[in-house]
Amino acid sequence: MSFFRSKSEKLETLVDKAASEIEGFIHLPLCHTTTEGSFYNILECGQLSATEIDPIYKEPLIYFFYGMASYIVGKTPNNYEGDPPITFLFAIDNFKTSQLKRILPFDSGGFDKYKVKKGYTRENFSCNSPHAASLQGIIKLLYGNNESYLKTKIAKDSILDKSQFCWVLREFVRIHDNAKTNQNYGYQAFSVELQFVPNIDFNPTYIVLPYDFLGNMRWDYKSFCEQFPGVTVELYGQKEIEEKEGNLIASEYNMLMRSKVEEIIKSIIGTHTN
Amino acid sequence: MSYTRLIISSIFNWNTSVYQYVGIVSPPAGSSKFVASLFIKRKLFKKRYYIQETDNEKIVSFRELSVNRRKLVEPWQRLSLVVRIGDDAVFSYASVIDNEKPTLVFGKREYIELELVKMLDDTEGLNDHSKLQIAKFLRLYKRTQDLSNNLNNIYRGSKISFNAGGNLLSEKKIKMSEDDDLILNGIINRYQVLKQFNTGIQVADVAYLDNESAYCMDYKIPIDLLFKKVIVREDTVKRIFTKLMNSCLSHKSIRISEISSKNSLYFFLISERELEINQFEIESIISSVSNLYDHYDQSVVETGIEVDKQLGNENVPEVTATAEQEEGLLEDVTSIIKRKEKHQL
Repeated sequence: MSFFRSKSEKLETLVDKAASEIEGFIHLPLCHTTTEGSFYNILECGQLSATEIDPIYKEPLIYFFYGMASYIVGKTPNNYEGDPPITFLFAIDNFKTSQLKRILPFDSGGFDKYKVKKGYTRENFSCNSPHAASLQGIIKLLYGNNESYLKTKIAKDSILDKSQFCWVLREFVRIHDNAKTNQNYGYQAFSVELQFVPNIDFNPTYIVLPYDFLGNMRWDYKSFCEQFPGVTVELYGQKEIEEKEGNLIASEYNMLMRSKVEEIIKSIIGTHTN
Repeated sequence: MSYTRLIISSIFNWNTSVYQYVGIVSPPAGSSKFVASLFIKRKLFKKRYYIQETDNEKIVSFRELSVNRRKLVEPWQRLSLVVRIGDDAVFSYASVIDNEKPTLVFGKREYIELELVKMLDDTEGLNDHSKLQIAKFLRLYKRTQDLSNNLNNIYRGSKISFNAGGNLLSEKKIKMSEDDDLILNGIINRYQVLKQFNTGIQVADVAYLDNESAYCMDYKIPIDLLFKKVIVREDTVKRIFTKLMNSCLSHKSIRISEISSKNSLYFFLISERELEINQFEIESIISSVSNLYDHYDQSVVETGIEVDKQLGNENVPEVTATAEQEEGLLEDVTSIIKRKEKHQL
């Protein structure tokens, strides 16, 4: 005799089902954010590598967010690091599927502050055997399409409807609702996270640099273009950085970077839809 | 708006807290850039860090923030630089060559400007982008334009562009002035001071001419007014403006065709022997100007010869500052033109 009315399905199963229902899905770029020091290491070895064992998953991992540059550089929003963020945008086709380790509908690092009901773990929200179509499945299931995802607007009715087969979906809606009213959650709570096994070849389509980065003596644009042809370099904060003459705090740099990435991604969507 | 904000801030900070400059957070290795000036509030038991918020280079408030103390770089001069709300902003510029300790220069504008202008021609530690930031901060017009052009060449074909020169002239804080002495003395003083610290500074760095106005620091003045009232008054001034005009002409900041419609500029051109202007250019100007009077149909070559004679003739009346004298010269030139016309008939 079962104590439950029906057996709950795993989130991953519903993601796979949703993935099989769509055709012609346009993948948004995957965003990885780092800082100057790490950027030069990446340029030197031509690969993204994990500098340390991930404290949560106890293995080396490289993190990306789907279509959003949500990683926050700096410990608190109100700090001054003097080391502004740099973001790479990768086309998903440039990855080896075998290196994709997990997909979660939010930043796994922020899970502890999401006020999830007791008993729920990261595992409940993870796609632990992701494949090429998992990403489109997760977007279809939780947001309906890319446009709604970028507006952080979940397909609430559809999710709640399906929650009778997958209880974890109801908890996802709760996290999302809390995130809308709690600024501490940040954009990470609305961003799909992809974890990769290192190392990853450095072949992004875009790199987004802070305007004042160009003053670094180690940066040589011509050499960069020769070494990495086909990468488009974009700058953020040109006007603001000049106007404020150095008086920008970490959160302001992050905001400017995120806006620039958003602008690039919108232009990519525009190109595909036109 | 800025004054209102300043007054409100001052009321709420009536106890006029004193903030002491304590340095910067070190930028990454290889960087050279403006960075946030950090302050601590004096008489506070616990050390809290603040950055200034400014409006038009005046401090309007202080914002508390957290910093990584391991990355703090203190000024090597143990000077006690203290500020209050309403004071001039304190700027900090750091350059880190490789992994060495950052070189920090800081201070209010009048001090840091002299330190920064020295660094402009350093070959070590600063690339063109860093120099551009400094040139813009110092409002060095020609230098800014040259560096922007260099960088645009480097980044040609990319999505990165530098339109620095235009921004300097369109800044909101630039005020129109009718006080020609203010502008002119500003240009001369600034040129002389900056030149002492960097011999590479040119007149065209501290002042800029376009078709409408002359610019120096926070002011601009209608170009006709400047030429009409001042330009021919003193030899020093004349020399400086000759240099400036040469620079502007070679950079096409002033289009020759535009000059013809401005009498003051025209008279400056034909009276200024040091001006490196091509024969065909002056002919073109004369031709355009002559068209303004009596539909004159003399060839530009003939006009040029006539003007050459005028310029070579020691008895040519001096071009003076007054409108009457300027009108006199205008009549002289017009009469030459008319004589020539009559002769042809």
